[in-house]
Amino acid sequence: MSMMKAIHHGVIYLFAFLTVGWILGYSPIETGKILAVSCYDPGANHFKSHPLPLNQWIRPALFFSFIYGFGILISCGIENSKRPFTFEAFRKNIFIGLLCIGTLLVMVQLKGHAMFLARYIQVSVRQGIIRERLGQSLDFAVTLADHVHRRYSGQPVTVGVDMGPDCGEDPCFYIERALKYYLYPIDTGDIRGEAAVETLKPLSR
Amino acid sequence: MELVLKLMILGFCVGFPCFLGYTVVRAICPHIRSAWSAGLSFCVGSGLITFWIFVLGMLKAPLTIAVINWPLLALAAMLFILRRPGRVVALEHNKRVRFCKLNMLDFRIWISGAVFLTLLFVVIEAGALQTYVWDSLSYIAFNAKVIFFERSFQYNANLPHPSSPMGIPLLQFWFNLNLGYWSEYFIQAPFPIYFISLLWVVWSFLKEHVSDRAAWIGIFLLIAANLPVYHAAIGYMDVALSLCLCSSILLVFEAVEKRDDRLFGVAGLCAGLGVWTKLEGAAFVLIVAVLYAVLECGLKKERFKLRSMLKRLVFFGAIPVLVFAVQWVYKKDLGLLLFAGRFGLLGFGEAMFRLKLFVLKATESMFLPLNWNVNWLMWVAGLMLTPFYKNKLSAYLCLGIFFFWAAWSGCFVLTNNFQFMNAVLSRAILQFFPLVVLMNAICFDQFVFHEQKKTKDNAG
Repeated sequence: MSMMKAIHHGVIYLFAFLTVGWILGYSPIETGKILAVSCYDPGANHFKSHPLPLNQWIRPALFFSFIYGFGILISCGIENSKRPFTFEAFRKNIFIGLLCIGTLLVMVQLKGHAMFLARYIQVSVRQGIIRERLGQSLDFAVTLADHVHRRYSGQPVTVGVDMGPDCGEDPCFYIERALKYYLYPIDTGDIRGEAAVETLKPLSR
Repeated sequence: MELVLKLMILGFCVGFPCFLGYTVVRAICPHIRSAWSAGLSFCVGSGLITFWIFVLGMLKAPLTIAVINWPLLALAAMLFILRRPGRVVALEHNKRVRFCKLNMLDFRIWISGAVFLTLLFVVIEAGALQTYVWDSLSYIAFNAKVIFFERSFQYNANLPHPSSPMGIPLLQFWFNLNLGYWSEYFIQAPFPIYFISLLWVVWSFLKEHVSDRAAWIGIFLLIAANLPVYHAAIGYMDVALSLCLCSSILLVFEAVEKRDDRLFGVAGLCAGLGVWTKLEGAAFVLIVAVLYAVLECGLKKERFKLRSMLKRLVFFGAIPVLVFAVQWVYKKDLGLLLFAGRFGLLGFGEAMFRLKLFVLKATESMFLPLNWNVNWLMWVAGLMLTPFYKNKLSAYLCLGIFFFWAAWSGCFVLTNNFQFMNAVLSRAILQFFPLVVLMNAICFDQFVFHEQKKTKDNAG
């Protein structure tokens, strides 16, 4: 596939992208940002997608399906006008169309990834620091664990973690796990199988 | 100054496993392509280091830098000095990348840019965010932390998920052991390297088997998928398992094609590392063995020899069986369940209902959220619109994908893992996902780029 053909297909799908966005009521500049927010919500088990603003019935998968369908129609129409349309040409258009959609998605994902990092990482070029901004639950667990380590360093201390009776769901469940992790070597998970009296050794940082 | 020292230690923690892994792979197969030995070096080296720590821990030896590192350094040095010169297998002339000839209209520049940006984001995320994901806090990094502070295996029976293989936790332990203190950021370092190794392995395999353009498309499709890229920055084991598994499958293919028995040894080493990484790695060894048997049986009658096939299966299976056996002894000693009680059979009465839920969940996971970009759509289009089965490699990969689907459907539908299906299915798919990308690249090579060439030739 020559570069000019690739650009030709790229232009078709970009046009389809902008047209579908315009039909749904988004400006060209808005569309990219909205999709970056809707498409990029990472999770360790799967990525969550969210409905688009103004059109709650549309999710990113459906949005890109519209673009793909529109783009396939245009590219197959152009192909048909030049030469007799064959199954091989149709197949080629299917794959190239998917690749163009994939490229659009990558652009949106890269933007989403950058926005995700900007949310959780603070960069100060003047001070030369990179600092993370923790989410609320993790911030609570890390700050509490840090306080316990600093406050009770070198002293015998009994530590228990009481999250209350209804701690079977997030965020409580998550905080409990995070506390157990960040407090260690203070053993709140009965790893050492001893009574929960701990002498806290200073952690070197 | 502190930062420079940390970077030097990080360099050692990455460089030493690479050197060790490189020498070991070359020792098993001296004439293996350098792309393979480079791509597998960190995975193999880190696996050997952590297995050595495991053996030391089981023998109640002190877990210190000297006891762990020096013998392995000596081994690596000895293997390097005694290495047999292998044939240098360079890429064919037209497959080498010549960046001086590229210009801004060349799509390879843009794909390189996308790969670079993706890897940059991954490295920043891994380096700047401390451990925050569920499994890492619950047992992966937590177990590493316990071993770090206790410097022994005496409390291993009380650890969360004690039956889980110790490969990744021990690697995190080793990183911080070299650093000298527990760092929440240092333990994130191995994961981007596993992902980069996976990219390298997929890239070098594609360069050998498809056209240059299709190889670039393949690498683009791999970094286009959100979930593997996200996993490259967090402390989960699925990318590492994916690397071990896919390397094993691809090496078996190359071994059969080239009739090179030593490549089976390297494939077996990768499969053994899969057993060392996650519990399901043990089951996947069987899948790779069956794939090999199918490949071998598909050979022409005069080339097929049952005795040779069995010999190669033994050669392949030696390391996974050894790794499994050592873990079995360890678990028996601690009174642990072999597979953590995770494979209790459910009743067959509602199996059809569970199967229906599995199919719905699998379809949703493949196509609706943005885990995989368009890869699964492209794969389905390839199955429906192309005679993919006529290409040997494509048919082999497709068979592998179906075997994995069958294995996971059996696991979720028939066992008590069904309760975890909603949470875990996408990560299960991640483990064999690179095979899908490879198939898509082959599809492009055979049915888009060659089609283009045929049309031009006919028009000429």
